[in-house]
Amino acid sequence: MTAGRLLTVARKEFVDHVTSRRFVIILALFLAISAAGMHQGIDMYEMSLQSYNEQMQIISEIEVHGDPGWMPEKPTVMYVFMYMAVYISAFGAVLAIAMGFDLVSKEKESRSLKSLLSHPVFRDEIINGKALGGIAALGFAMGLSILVSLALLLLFSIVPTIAELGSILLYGIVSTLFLITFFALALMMSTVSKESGNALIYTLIIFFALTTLMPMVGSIAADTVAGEQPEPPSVARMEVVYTGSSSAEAEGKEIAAPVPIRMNEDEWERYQDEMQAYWEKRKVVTDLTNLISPQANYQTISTAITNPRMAALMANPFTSVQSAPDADEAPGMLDALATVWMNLAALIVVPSVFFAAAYAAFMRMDIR
Amino acid sequence: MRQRLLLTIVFCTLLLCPTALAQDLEKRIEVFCDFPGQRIEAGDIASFDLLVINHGSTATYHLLSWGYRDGRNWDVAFMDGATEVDRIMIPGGGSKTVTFLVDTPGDADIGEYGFRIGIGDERVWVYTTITKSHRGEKGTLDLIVVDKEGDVVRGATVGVYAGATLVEQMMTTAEGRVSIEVPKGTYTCRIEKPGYKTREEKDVDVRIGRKTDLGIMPLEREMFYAEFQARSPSRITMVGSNPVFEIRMKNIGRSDDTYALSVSGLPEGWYARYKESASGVEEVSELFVPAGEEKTLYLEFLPPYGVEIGEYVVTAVAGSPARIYEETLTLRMRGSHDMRLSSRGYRYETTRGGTVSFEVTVANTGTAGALTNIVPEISAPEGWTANIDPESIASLDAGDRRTVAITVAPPGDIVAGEYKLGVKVTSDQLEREDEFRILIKERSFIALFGLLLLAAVFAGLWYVYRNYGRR
Repeated sequence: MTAGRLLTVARKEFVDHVTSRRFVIILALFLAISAAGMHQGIDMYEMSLQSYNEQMQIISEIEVHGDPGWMPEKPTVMYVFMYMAVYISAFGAVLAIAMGFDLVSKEKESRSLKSLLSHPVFRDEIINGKALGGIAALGFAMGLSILVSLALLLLFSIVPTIAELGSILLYGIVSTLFLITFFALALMMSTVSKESGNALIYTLIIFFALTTLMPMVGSIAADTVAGEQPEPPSVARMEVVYTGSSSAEAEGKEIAAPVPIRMNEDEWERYQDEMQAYWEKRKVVTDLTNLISPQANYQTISTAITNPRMAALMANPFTSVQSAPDADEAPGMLDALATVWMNLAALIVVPSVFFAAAYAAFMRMDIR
Repeated sequence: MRQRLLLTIVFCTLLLCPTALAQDLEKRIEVFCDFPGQRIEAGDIASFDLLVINHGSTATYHLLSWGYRDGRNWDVAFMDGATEVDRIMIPGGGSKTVTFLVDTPGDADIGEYGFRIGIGDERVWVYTTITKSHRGEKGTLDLIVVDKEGDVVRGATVGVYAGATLVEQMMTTAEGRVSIEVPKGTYTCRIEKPGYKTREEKDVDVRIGRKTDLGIMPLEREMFYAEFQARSPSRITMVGSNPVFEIRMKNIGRSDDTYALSVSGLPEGWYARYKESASGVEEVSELFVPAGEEKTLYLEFLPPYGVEIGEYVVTAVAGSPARIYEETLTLRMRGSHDMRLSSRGYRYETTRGGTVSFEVTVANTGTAGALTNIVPEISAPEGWTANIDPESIASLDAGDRRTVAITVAPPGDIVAGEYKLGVKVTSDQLEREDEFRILIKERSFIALFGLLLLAAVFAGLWYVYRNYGRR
């Protein structure tokens, strides 16, 4: 295999993709996703900015009497990409599948594969080139949508910081990885199937199995493993004490203020420990099953990139991130990514497996 | 010669008083006193019970006594029970008891004072020993003042006069009582109260260390009389404000009355008006008050613009057909401190990384003199820096103004948006605050950059389609 021929095939595939009507539609859908994310993200940015201004003023006033001990959260352009990630998670996979489900099967159906292989080109160069071309096209579409989003942000006078630009780049890579996963799945099915229709059906079946079935199975398995959820202590309530001896008084005239019953602290601590253990058990199972689901992995990673604070909270709801909103102590993107490295690895491994299967199938394919 | 003269006198005496001589020979009066010596304090009364026995025939005798030293001026009396007596008739062979009282003055010196008592042919001595003198002390005059209805009269003035000279004066309490201490003497007691007829009690004898109780003294109300009093007749007010005096009009006469309200002595340019409520604006010129009732009036003064600081004395007048009532009101006008802040604008714009400069003018708009130690302060969001020139102003006279230049710099990493900035100027006398809005905008080339990026994206797309698109 030579790089020159590989790139020639990849270039041809890329050009075919980007000049196809299908790609135009896919690109348009990507831009629509960007626009929707932009709309919601900028709304949230404006609200966050207003809240930030108010809180900064409050801090300034409080500081007259001493250090307030907390800092408000700055608004970030990542809100836009957070919403975009939601839409990509929902529709991106379908778009990627649409790009790859007939890459090989179509050639089989049109018998052009034979003539292709009659050229001085190896099989692996063809499959690798097709994959590279498809990936480049997906990356091109994703890059375009991100660039358009950035340009619109600048037009709105919202300038990302260097760190935010890094996050956006990482977000783009991860989103592309997510798309590649389903592209690789579609390529694999296109390779093993004789017809494009079958390839699409098989791809969609696996797609639903990975995105819907696996999390559902994981949830059931987690419930089975973790057992019943602990009940909170029943004393955590208020009681109204009636004063006066006669029933008339007790009916509403002489009612004392509600008196809180003091919680049994030991019971409460025990409940918290049990809940923590329950949650951890459950998390191990769901994390394991979610690793197979590219959608779950993408959601976890994109949240870690676009909203590290929320990602840290989702990682363990028993942490006190919300109770100490100090900007300096809030988890950064790298901290959040450190907690999702398995998902990141899975997002690389799963498409690699699909591609390896596609590669093996193509190499052994009987072409007559 | 001398012997002859003496014999002639004796002969004449015997010749002129043959009856007396006969009685002396016949009457035998004996006087006994169980305790002829008594020890008392000055001001107390010594009482000697005298048993008079008549050994002769029934006869009437004079009751005589003689005092010596200061005792000659003391009051003494023979008493039969509560009746003062000066003669005693005793049947032959009988006896009677008579009491001899010695009323000692409070200022009597310590010592023994003898009194010789003569009844008939008997002469006996009794002695009063003063053990404690009350010299220098006063007597007390007690009385209760009531009106004709029997209600006590509080606040009536009770004056004790020696002739025309006022010795002591007191007001009756809420119970109508008064207890006045005055030196011993005989006085005229005069009871006065506005709305009542004056009453005098003459020849009131006050003794040292003694309480003279005049009992209940009724006063008669006048037909027309009112109390016209300001709650606070003297007020201090700031220039620029309209002082209001609260005046109580109480008709304490026996008849309903109507009062015409006016003000006299009002300075030039001033205006005054009576109102029935402090916040009201309706002017009242006449006031009807039923007998025994009370109404509250508010007298508002409206000084002219630019009134000078100083003291003004004005008289509030309420006139009725019977009499005119006046209340003198004193008004001290004082200047007030005031400070105003102003600026050309209250909303400024800058780009991120830029600074905002503006000027705030501090004006002393008060009338009470200079403002001192004026310090401008900036309250801005976290991370902002501010420069104020000058940092402080030592003093600013009334009517003067100074400009303070303020430069604020938002932090470099600030998020574009509108921010609130407070400028507070404090002085020793008062403080004022103004609010400014600072709009932080992104640099203008950012939008251009965004436009270029968008153009580059579409240009790239166009390029791809133009080069690789199907022909």
